[in-house]
Amino acid sequence: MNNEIKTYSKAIGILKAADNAGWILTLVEKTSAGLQVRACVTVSDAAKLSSEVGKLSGGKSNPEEDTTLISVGADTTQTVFFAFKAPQVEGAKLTAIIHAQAETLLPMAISQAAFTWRMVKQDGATQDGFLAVVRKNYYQELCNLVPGRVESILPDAAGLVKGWAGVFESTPEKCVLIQIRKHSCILAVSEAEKLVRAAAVDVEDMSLTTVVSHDLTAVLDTMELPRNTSLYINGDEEIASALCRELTQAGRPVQRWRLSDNKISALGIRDKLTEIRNRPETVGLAIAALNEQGADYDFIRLPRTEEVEDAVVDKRSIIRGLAVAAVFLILLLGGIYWTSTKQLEAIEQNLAAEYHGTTGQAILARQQMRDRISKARPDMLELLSTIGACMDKEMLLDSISFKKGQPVRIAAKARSFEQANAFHKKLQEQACFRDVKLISPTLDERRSQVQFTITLAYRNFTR
Amino acid sequence: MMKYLEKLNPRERKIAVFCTVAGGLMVIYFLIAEPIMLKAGQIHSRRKQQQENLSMLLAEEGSVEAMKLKNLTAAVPVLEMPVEADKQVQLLRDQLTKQIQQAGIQVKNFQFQTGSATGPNASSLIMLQCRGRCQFPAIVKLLEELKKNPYYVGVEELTLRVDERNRQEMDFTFTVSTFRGSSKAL
Repeated sequence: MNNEIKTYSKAIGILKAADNAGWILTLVEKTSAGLQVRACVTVSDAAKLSSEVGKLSGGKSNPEEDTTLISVGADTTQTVFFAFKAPQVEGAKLTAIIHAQAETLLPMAISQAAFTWRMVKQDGATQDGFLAVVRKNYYQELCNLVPGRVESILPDAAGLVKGWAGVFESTPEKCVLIQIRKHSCILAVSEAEKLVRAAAVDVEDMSLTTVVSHDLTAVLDTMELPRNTSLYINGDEEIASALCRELTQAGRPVQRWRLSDNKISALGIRDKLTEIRNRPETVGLAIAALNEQGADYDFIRLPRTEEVEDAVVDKRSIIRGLAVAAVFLILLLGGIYWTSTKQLEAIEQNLAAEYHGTTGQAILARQQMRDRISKARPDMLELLSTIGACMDKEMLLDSISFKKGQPVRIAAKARSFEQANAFHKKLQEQACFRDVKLISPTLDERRSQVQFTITLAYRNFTR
Repeated sequence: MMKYLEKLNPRERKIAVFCTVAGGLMVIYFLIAEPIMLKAGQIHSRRKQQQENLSMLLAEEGSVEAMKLKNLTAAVPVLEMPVEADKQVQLLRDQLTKQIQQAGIQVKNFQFQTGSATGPNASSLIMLQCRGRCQFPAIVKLLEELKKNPYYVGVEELTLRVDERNRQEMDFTFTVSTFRGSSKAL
């Protein structure tokens, strides 16, 4: 969905030719004198569309500079219209409600469909509208017709109504426009020269006008239109005349489309009347696409102007909210910073104040010194007394060696290995010692003594 | 500036505005926000530390802070703040000599050492080593008395070696440390 507002001065309407043998392109330009049809060409192959569009739009390479809008018509035989009701809401709320309704209305998963809508009537607390739906793959096909350039996809019936209103004698009253094609008839309900809904009637043999007339009447009945609704027929001369007769006999007010001299002069299409009479949809597509408010039933240019404004307003309010939040955050942080600084100053003043010949800072310095000393001071009496308590009375101590950062080393003599082992075990049980190791206990047979060395870690003074 | 922006197409205008805003934010962050945040962090941690100090000073009887203080005073009952290295050495030596004599220990030699201590306070320590001969009760008495030396920090080394011929006597090597101070510390 393209939410950007861009002003277009030209539009090219693209529609498949009636006999499916190529594509018709009509270029309409908005001038100070009004709309002017500049070109109406037919290309035989879809592959040539891009180059033809390039030629018609003036060959601008930068899409940002190009003010030509490409509008493609979605075939009515591929488009289905569904009526729906919605409460009197607008903008994003209405979009959300329509999306919710579409899920129940569509005969397929919403992800497989592309849809657009138009609200046609307001009635008290509710409003009526129509959904126009095409399959997603058909929508993709239309998007890729002129890669990267298609900015508007409209039902060709919308082009039909605009073409009729733009070139032919038209009426703003509710009526049905019937366009005869080779194997189908398109019925477009128009009100105020805008498309309300459309339907396609497939026809195997168009010469069987009685059958066609019967089918048309049946479809008109399903549309629940009053019987006196005017019908306007356009297409092959013979078939149109025959259908007029059949429908008149069936009690329907029928007329043929009549070209409007004034409108033809204004558009400057005297030399293109035949093409336009046969396929008025292409002119209509371009005219509809140039509508500043956006065309009705545009599959691409959604949401419409008011929703774009909503989005802009929302964006602004978000930015405003963020800015206010940022200002508050800065003020809050500034307040915290100021409070911290003031508190620190107050504490430091209190600590520096003299009381009984000393200051808090001096007392703290002494406390910190005490703390440093207590951490650096091993309790040698605890070390010696703990070792002494673990020794058997018959054991002989030869040496004790303590040095900060190194294990404490004890050399001693015992009467037996058992006595040495018991000493080792007792030392291991002391909470102030770690890593107590008995090293090489050796029996001196001559003196019947066991000489041994023990190393141990004392609190945090041994690394 | 606005005229220049008007010349650009919408996409270029968006990119230009985005780059300007991003650049501006970066400049604000690095030149203003980051230094302020660093300063604020320093002030916050200093305030926290000073508050702890203050609550320790104003600790009530029975509180955790008061208990800590009591334990600290028990571990280091006497204390003189360190002075310059030369003076501190003399003070420690004089006091220690007195205590050694009172304990009845014979010292063969005294030796000052610097730079051989280990641990986080090593660089600020001065050490005094003494060697001699003594009996075990005498060295225990000296160790008890050392706590009353206001210049003594800790025992760095203690080696006791029993004389095989007279097991009542032992050779000892004893190293104590003191902090070196500065005139500022006073």
